[in-house]
Amino acid sequence: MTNIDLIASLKKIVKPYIQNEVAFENLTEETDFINDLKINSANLVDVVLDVEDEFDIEIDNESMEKMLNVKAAIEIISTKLNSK
Amino acid sequence: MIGNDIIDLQLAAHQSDWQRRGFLEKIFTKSEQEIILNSRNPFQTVWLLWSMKESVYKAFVQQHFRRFFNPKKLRCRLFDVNRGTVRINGIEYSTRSQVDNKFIHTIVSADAFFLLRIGNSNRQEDVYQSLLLAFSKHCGFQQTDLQLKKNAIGIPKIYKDNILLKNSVSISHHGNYWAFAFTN
Repeated sequence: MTNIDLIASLKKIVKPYIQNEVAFENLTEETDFINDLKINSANLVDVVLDVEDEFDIEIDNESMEKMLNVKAAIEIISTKLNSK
Repeated sequence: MIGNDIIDLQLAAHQSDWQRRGFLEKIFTKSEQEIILNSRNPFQTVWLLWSMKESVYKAFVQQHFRRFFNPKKLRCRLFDVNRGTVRINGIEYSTRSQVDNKFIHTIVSADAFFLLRIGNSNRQEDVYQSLLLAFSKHCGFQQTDLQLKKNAIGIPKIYKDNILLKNSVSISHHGNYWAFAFTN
């Protein structure tokens, strides 16, 4: 999977939880889930669980710790997919 | 440093499904899960513990300038619905909570003196204005001389005539409820 594909999948996953449409439309690797997309921090858990389901991977706590923006999420998903 | 967190329970019930598979395990330690599942109102206990973790997280970020997402790293102990502690990196913080059937609020402060206000509004601008009004009255400043800005990692700061004031500030807003607190 390329980063473009990963971002597209991630965009679908975060969509139900975002509270800033403009930031969502202009999503880039630098987009922050909480500060930019205004995702409620409790919903960030749902994003992590949805990512696990979608890619059939497990995101351990150390990885989750960094999952604050698109770039970190993409890196974590890629790493987990490659080690499958 | 100061941290506070408010949860609109009606919105929380709608926004999150705490019974979703994996949800409790991702956020809560084994002993916290036991507290939740053995409580009379697990839904309320989920959000009480969450607000304790969030308030301490906010205070922690103010001290350490580093954000992270790992709620399990913040370990709660609950003495009763109003009092508990949260431990992170070997440091224990005492929390005070207020549990209502509409909202849950938790505050943690290293400073003995602080001002806390809880109110109703779903507009962020109302919260900012209320904060600046309360702050200006408390300090004897003109409200028009004050500005509220968030720094690069999202911590709110109060400026007077564009000079940063040293008071710690914490703002929380969820659904129809807001709360803010600042230190002397």
